[in-house]
Amino acid sequence: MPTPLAVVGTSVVKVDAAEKVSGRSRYFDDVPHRDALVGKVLWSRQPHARLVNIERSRALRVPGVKAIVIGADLPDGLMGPFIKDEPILAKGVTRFVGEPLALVAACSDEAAAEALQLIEVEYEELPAVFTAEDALRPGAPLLHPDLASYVKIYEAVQEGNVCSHTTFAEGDLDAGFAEADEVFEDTFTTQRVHQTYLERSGAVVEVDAGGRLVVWSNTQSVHLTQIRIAEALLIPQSKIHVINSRVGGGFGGRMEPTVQPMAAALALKCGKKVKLYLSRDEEFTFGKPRHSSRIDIKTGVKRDGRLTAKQVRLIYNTGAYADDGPGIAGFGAMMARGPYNIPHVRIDAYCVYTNLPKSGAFRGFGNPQATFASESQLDLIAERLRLDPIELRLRNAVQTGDTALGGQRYTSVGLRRCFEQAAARAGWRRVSASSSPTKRRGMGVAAMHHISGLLSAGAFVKINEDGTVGLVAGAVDIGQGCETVLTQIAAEELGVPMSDIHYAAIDSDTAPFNWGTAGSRTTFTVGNAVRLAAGDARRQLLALAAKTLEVSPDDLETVDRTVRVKGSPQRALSYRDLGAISHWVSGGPILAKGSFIVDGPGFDPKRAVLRGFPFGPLTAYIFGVHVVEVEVDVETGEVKVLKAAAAHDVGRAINPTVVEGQIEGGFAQGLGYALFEELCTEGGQTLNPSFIDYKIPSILDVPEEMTAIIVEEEDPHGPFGAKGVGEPGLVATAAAIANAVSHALGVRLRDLPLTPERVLAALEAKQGTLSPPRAP
Amino acid sequence: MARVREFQYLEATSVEEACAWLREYGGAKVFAGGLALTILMKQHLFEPTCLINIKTIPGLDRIDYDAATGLRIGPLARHQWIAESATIAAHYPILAEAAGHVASLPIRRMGTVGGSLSHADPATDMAAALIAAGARLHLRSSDGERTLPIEEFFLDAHETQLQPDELLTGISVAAELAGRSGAHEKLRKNATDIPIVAVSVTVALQDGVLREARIGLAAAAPTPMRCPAAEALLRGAAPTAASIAAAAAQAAREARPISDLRASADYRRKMVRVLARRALRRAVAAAGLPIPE
Amino acid sequence: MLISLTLRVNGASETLDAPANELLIDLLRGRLNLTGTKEACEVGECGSCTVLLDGAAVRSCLLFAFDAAGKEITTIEGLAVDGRLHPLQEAFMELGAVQCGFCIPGMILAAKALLDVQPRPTLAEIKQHLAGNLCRCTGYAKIVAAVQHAARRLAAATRPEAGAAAP
Ligand SMILES: Cc1cc2nc3c(=O)[nH]c(=O)nc-3n(C[C@H](O)[C@H](O)[C@H](O)COP(=O)(O)OP(=O)(O)OC[C@H]3O[C@@H](n4cnc5c(N)ncnc54)[C@H](O)[C@@H]3O)c2cc1C
Ligand code: FES
Ligand code: FES
Repeated sequence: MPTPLAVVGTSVVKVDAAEKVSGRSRYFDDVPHRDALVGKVLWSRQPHARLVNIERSRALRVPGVKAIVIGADLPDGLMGPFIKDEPILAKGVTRFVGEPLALVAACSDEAAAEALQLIEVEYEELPAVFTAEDALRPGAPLLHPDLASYVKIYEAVQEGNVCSHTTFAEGDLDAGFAEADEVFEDTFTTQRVHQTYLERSGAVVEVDAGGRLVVWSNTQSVHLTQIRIAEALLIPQSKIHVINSRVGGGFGGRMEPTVQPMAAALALKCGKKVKLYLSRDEEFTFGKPRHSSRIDIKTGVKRDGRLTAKQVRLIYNTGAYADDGPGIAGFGAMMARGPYNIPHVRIDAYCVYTNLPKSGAFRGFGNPQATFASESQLDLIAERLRLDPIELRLRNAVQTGDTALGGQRYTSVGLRRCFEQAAARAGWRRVSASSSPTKRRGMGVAAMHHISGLLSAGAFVKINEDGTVGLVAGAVDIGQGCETVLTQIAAEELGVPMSDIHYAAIDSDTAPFNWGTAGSRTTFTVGNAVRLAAGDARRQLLALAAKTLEVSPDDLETVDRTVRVKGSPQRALSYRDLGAISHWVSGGPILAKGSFIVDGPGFDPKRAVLRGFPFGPLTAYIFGVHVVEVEVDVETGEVKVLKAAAAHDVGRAINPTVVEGQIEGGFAQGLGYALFEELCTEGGQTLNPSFIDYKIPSILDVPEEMTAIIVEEEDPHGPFGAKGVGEPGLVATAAAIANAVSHALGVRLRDLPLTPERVLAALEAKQGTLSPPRAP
Repeated sequence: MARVREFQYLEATSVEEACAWLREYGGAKVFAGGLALTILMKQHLFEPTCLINIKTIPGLDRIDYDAATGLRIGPLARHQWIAESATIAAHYPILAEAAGHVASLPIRRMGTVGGSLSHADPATDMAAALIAAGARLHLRSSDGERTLPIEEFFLDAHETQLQPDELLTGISVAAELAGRSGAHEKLRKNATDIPIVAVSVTVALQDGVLREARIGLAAAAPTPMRCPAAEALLRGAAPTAASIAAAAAQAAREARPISDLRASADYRRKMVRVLARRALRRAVAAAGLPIPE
Repeated sequence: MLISLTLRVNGASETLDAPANELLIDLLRGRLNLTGTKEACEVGECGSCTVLLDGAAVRSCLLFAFDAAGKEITTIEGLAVDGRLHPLQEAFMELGAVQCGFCIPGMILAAKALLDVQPRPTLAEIKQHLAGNLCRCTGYAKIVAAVQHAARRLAAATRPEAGAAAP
């Protein structure tokens, strides 16, 4: 048990809860910009075509139309987080249905809509590819013939339509397979699913009097928005000012900008304030769903269940532009070994261009696919070896001090406890049973690991004149609770009540750089920066008190917002006193800072071959185990998840209720991923861009019994031992459900989602008959 | 900022007035609960020039039952009222059950049954249930009223017998069809989805044999449909596992399903069989004759 | 075409001319600055736009303003009394049922519509009443707990005459 602290570890009410329950939060569209022109986008109707001509003269004559921008009007900048391959508007060639071709700014919705109708686009069709398989064929049409000349931020391995190929290799694969008693080879596939955050994306952009672009929007990172606009429009980052509203969910979909660069281009062109707010169908077609994947795994195992070798090929379909794809595929590769010790491993991940709308970050960042495949295969292995699936996993599970793929050390591993607690809570048993003549129940387990230490973050703490505290961290709260958690960390470190701290609104002009709310990294990475900044503030307060009281800082102690001399408590200065002194008498305003970067321990080149991996060191591994019970209707193929226990090692739960909420919410998203969510396309056209046809779980779809279990294996490098939990709730869910379904039915389903139709087909294939199994 | 194209708006105070206006204003549309229409108008898929609100006509939302004349449901009755009506539960339970399967509570409270039938989506729960219940529809224009069995109302997806100047003024179910037990089986993607397939049945048992069974399907053909051949197999038959299975198989043969995002035609056909069997068994059991497995 | 409307919004009477083609949600958000009502899906599926119309939860994204004429509308802004939050709002806060918050106004109003007629709801009733309100963040567990908690608190505080609206 971690030692109890004052604020950290308690489930304080979230700092933004009151404004949210009273409807007073200002999300993007809640701030009226009545002086803004209406912006609208003309989307490509062709998956792959040369843009022969875009004729806008008729559209420009529509009364009320102020400007129309096409790709040719814009500078040649290309944007992208890993590979700079994407223009704001297609130029010369369009690569997916739904790619922005032109932008209209007008005085009214009607005028903008009419203008869109009058823009004439002349296309010359090019051959298109929609599946990664087709895109990898020799002679396949190339999406980006100039790929080699694009700017990349890492040493990318590229060829043809493969925009990024990441390799992790350790040990001697041949020896590992030779050593094995059994070798398993399986293929799994997963589908594209959309983040479906409830708030749609929008941006208002204005060129201010000083010529700077002011961008109001709802994003997961004001800084990435700033950077992308800068690189696409070839203007300095200092000329771009990004201000965030409250954000109605993100789940990765708003890591990279959505409409902000377009709105910026329009505002620059017409010199007026412009508002672009996507409709839901635009959100679905232009959004950045989780990559579909095909995963081939070959695993060698000893009869006793010890894993000897694993070879994985991950193919992620990234669509027309790379976006976060190289990071996602690379991270998928890093996760594909799983939280198990395997001496001989080789993982190759291919991020492949196709003429689908681009994919992007979505909770799990490449890990849900890899985990679904790996954890499904482990159950196949357990079955063949007649081992309990949990027993098989425990025989191979990593422990603190073991080495992760690539050579980094695990500094805190609570995996075994996760297994034990999830299994106990769900009543783990290996007997599948018929619950009625047409229903069968089964239980499934899946484990996962993930990381929470990633890249850099900074934080400022300022002590106000009255001794209260301003915390400027730049980390966007997209609902996951970081405003609360980071405030708790600062409060703990400073010894002040949370109500004394104000978490600053997110503004690129003031906030220190933050890569974004993603990768389950905020608590660990930003939390460390916040803790450092708060510690710095505390030291400065002590120093000022020492100077004022004319004692050594070592003779001072802080108690209840007061610094006093040890042993003579009447000689004391409150934080309020010190705030005033610093502002008016001596020292100057207290500004404290914390900067943090995950820069070690790095990968070990002597141990592992590592190529084309777009991240530096990643750290603070987190672990989770899901146990679920399902009931399958053997005549219809419908799956109902009855019960779930999800145990997660989060280091230390800064706010247990917030942690549970992340696990429960992640689980529900994982359930949709497992059972019915799928963004479908035909000829590159999105077929179900609406809540009518794209279904997400309702309250009636989630399990009646859902238990989130917090396991606390403190990490020596985490703030108060904390790691992270943003994504893991989703990562293992689909695998656990698929394993439970397979357990119930005795057939293995290798393709997500497990639609009733697929489940039934698998059952029928097993029975070798086309009639329902138990027809009376 | 208007998101819906402008239209003329009229509030009818009588059926006669609504009919007269429908004839007078070409391109006018009847506006009931407005759910289906408003979605189309917001998406600019359908932009009527004139809406005639019929919720201002008194009495069109009534649900009346009389032991001699049977049930009469006004077109403006909301799904939820049917789901909650004690009268309907007592005499035409299939309708209450199916109404409770429509979407979610707020949609059931806003959407009218008349609107749902007139919109004529193939995936309409109440259409299947009313077919199973043996309902007739009453259509009115300035020229007079006509009635027809509900299964003849649907011509194709979103196409019905309704002429542009006609109003659906009532749904009736004969008194002699009261008291039949029924069951509505629905398969869906998530818990509030429209049906992937739905099967509604009612049965009338006499002396241990099926005097009559009626089977209605939703999302199993381009329109909601009835299964006469399957019903014929059951007429006069003892409700055994075998007779029900045969009728269910026949219903599956009668279905004319399509493939779409929710399911393939093949799967839908199989599901008609499974759901028909389940619905028939449940209806027969509700009538007091549980069938052993 | 303008229609003259009188409606009561959060207890106050409003008389205004609304274009026939104005949706209730646009009237509330755009003209009355009641931006607590959210529009997420635009097609009646998600419930973010829920308001109470004469006490019943409806979709303001699919309701023309003219259909609210003469009716009593409650939005999330109308729940607090004298600055004191409604027990549902308090319970949502205290039990951690709020993440991004976008679904929350609609969710709370849908729950209120239930508790107003059924102060002691079963779990099944709660789920039925909230089934039309989608939340992408929470997985619903804490939302269910918050509604149960608020119901208990309301029941404890209720004098016999309150909470007994007609079913
Ligand atoms: C989110 C959602 C979920 C849904 N889920 C389901 C479901 O699970 N199962 C299901 O069966 N349905 C479902 N529906 C469909 C829903 O039941 C219908 O949209 C609704 O009942 C239509 O009724 P309305 O009164 O709103 O129709 P309106 O929109 O008013 O009218 C629909 C059409 O019928 C015409 N019309 C209406 N009344 C008459 C009349 N009396 N005479 C002549 N023409 C008329 C109108 O002109 C219009 O063309 C769902 C709808 C939504 C929005
Ligand atoms: S916005 Fe109205 S139901 Fe979704
Ligand atoms: S809290 Fe984000 S959608 Fe419910």
